[in-house]
Amino acid sequence: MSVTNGEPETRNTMEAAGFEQAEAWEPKIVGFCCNWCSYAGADLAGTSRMAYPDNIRIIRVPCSGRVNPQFVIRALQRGADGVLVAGCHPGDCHYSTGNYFTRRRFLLTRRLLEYMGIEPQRLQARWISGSEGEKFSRVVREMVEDIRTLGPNTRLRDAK
Amino acid sequence: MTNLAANPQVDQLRARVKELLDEEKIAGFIGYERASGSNLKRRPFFMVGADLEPLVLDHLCTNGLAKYLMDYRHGEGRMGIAARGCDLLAIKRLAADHRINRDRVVVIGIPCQGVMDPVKLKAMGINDVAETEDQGDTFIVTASDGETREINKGEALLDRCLDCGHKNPDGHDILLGEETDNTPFQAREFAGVSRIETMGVSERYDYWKRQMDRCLRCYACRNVCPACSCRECAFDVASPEWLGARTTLSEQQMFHFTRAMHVAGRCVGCHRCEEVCPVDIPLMELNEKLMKDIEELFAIEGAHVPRDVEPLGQFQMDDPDEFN
Repeated sequence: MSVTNGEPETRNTMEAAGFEQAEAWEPKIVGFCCNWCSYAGADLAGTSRMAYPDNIRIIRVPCSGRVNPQFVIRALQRGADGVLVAGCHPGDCHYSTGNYFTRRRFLLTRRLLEYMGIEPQRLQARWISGSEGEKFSRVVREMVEDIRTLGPNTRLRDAK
Repeated sequence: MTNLAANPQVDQLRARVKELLDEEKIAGFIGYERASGSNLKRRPFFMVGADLEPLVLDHLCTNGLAKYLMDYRHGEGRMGIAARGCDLLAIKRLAADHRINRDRVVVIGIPCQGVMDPVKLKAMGINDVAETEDQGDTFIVTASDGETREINKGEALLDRCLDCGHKNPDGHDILLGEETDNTPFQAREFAGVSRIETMGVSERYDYWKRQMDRCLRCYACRNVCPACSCRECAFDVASPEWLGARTTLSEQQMFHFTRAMHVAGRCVGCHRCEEVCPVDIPLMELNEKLMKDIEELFAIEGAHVPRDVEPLGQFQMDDPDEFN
């Protein structure tokens, strides 16, 4: 049941395919952070002066359960190279159960995206609590590295 | 033209429908009639008057009828409908979604050992079928001129009938004939999904790109789908603007991803989306991927069977977790 059973696209193949601006390219990641845990975690990382790459653009949502899988597609269509969905740990949801639904939904979303040929590393979901500033900065660092290895996303865009 | 009334199942069906009408138990009936222009096709038949003459029932009656019940949900009286096992799943889906009132539907259930695929018949050189008969392992088809031919079921069945485990119309109001053996011809194993899963991620992307690039955005897949019955479909409204309706590859990929997710855990596996698609997009390969994952991840048996709470409307504390 492994999510990853395809070979990763490397940046080199992107360059070989004539993808322009590979030199200047920096991964662009959209991060959906739940208001109650992960956004506070990101805040803590900031106030604690923990450095993390500025490749992530954070969008605050009331709950990770608010994240429609459609948002992920739209982000990838419109220029994101990766999408992070971050919410409270199971059991910690401000609304009691929102993140349990998120879990089911995104277990399927990741698999369906991979099935449709989108590298699964481009959509990641993580549980990050309000006290886990360190985890937030680590997750963002790791994800930026993953996406850097994959190269720019060209899929789901009209660039053929 | 051969007298279709020679088929005993049709006689029975007409008799039951007539009875229901005479007793005023139904105001109308949804069944099948012969399609004009082809001796191989049958089409949905809506009977509101009393003329039962066009009503047919044979192994070429393959259209899904359940969704039409929605057209009559505000009418007077009850509507009768002919339904096989797959149609019954669709009727349950619509009732569970509160899109039809099951009490206002009278279902004449048809036990079914599979129906024929007109495309496969054509490939065998059969273009004219007036009558069909189920002989267990074979079908006997009779042309308009009376010529008969016996064909193996394995060569003639619609793909969806091969692994069907709903041969009896569970939940019917009236059963036409007797219950039948419910053993599927072959095990349900999502072979199409497994084939795609073994591809590399780029190969899969190219595969789906080829499929979705053909999409016309005609929404026939949605319109026929018993799980797609929202009062206001996300694709019919001007907002949110992040659901695009242009016919570009990107928007078509988005549409098919979204359609599949919207029916995840709700698809009844009737294959009608695929069958009505004018450009043959293998939509069931998306639906079945979700079914397969739901069954594997959440230990749910038969993800296509409508239940009180759908798989994505519920959770277990100990669902698999890969998000730590």
